[in-house]
Amino acid sequence: MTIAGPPATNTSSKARTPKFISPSTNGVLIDASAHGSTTVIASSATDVSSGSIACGGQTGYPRPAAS
Amino acid sequence: MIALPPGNDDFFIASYDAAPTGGSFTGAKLLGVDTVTQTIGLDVANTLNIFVSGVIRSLNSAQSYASLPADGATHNFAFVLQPQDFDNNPITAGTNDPYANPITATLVETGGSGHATLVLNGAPVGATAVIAHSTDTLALRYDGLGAAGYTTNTTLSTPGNPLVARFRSP
Repeated sequence: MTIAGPPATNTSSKARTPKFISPSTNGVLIDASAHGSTTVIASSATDVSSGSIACGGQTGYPRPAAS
Repeated sequence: MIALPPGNDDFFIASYDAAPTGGSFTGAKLLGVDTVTQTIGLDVANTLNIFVSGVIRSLNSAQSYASLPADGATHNFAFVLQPQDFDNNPITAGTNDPYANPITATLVETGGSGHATLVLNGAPVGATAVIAHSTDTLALRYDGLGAAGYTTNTTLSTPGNPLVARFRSP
């Protein structure tokens, strides 16, 4: 995922905006379970804040993150 | 990266405005969620394609009152909404990532009935409408035939936010 910055105000940039990821995103939770089950079999809570390891130390926007 | 058994697995994804502490997001604000099912292959790096649906906290509506004339002519009042997350970021909600908590609009007439309807994406829908995408449009259509004292009250709410905006007219 990529955490983009706050939306630009000009129309052309807004039209290119990818799917929504809040620019305030600093953490991502992923819970996995066998299909149809409510029992979590794997979980990942990742720090994707500016300068985080998951973002390769990259600061500011945009910053790609690996969860 | 997480290890999973092969086969169909369900994934719940949530984004927060704070980094985890001790593996927990206690106290962090929820910004987006999604649930997907994907087939996981054995002994390969599987890529998860997800769309995160923004969680609405406020509607950032600029207007809460409108006066429409009772002149026998049909009038449309467009609701201008800009749903925002907990940190006041505008949410973009498309086909694949609709609002996590869609907006329900409810119209109530007083002093008369049958003079107004909600209009969703250009089509009259009656007293209730659900807004799930950024491109959805919502308006109030009034026939201009209400008697003196006739008013409408439209409330906009989302799950988790019982009342996030209220509009009165005329």
